[in-house]
Amino acid sequence: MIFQRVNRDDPEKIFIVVKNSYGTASVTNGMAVQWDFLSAVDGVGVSIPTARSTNAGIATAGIIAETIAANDYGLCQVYGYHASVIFRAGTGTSLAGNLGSSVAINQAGAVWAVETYFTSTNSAAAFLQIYPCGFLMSIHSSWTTSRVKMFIKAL
Amino acid sequence: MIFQKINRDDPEKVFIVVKNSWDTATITSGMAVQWDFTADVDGVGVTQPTARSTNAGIAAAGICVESILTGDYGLVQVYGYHPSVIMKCSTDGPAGGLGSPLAINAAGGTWDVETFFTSTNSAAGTVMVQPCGFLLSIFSSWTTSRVKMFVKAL
Repeated sequence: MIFQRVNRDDPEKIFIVVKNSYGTASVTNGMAVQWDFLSAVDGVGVSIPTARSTNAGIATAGIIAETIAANDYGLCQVYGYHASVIFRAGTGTSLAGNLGSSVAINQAGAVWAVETYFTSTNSAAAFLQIYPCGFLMSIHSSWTTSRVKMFIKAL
Repeated sequence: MIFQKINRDDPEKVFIVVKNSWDTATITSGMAVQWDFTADVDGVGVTQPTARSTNAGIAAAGICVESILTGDYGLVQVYGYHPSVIMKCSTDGPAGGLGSPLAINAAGGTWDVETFFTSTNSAAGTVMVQPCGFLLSIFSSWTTSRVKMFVKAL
């Protein structure tokens, strides 16, 4: 685990070392990854997110901070500001991503993005307990993924 | 980031260095602060909490532990026991008992943490709220007071 001290405008961050257990390709900066609880199952391997219904979002490992080749090791950010996270607005009429919106690993799985989600019963969707992994510091309202600023809270 | 190891009765704590981006006044020990996601937006600046509906409580940065002048840098506690946190009980929330979860205040515009409903057995209905710690005192009033709290804001 690596702790970056604040240095004026460079904020405090926490990184962990993980193994890219996704056998198909590299993972790159800004991708949201999930602990691999299906194959590696060792607290080291991370992989592509599965459907959120499998873990309610708590299996989120963090946001990749550098390119990691398949089966290689590298840094994943678990706390603090990240300037370029892959994000899309969750499906639903009131799920636009605004400044401060809490975000979680994507609902459908099989993509490397975080999403907004419903936080109250005043919604079309059934209320579900979901564990967020941070909040937005950008505005983005589309289902199409984009790079956004985010504060990560995935410890 | 500073890690205080346990020393007999002095518990383990974690602190971070932040910038007071609230340009009106100094922030002081015991104040609950929120990451500034509207002006600075850099993961360094913290400010006064906004309405909790904007972020469901997850933007809470922690509890200030020393006086930090406007535009200056100082320590915020993000984990562990704090003996003097500013707290009140929400007008539509439950009384504060030992162990009650606490979140950044619902209305915004103040520097305190509050209790909140955690089940549908409430007039307010269920709203998902991310807590930033739990209460180690008993307190039931809307008027703010200093309480003991265990901070969990990492």
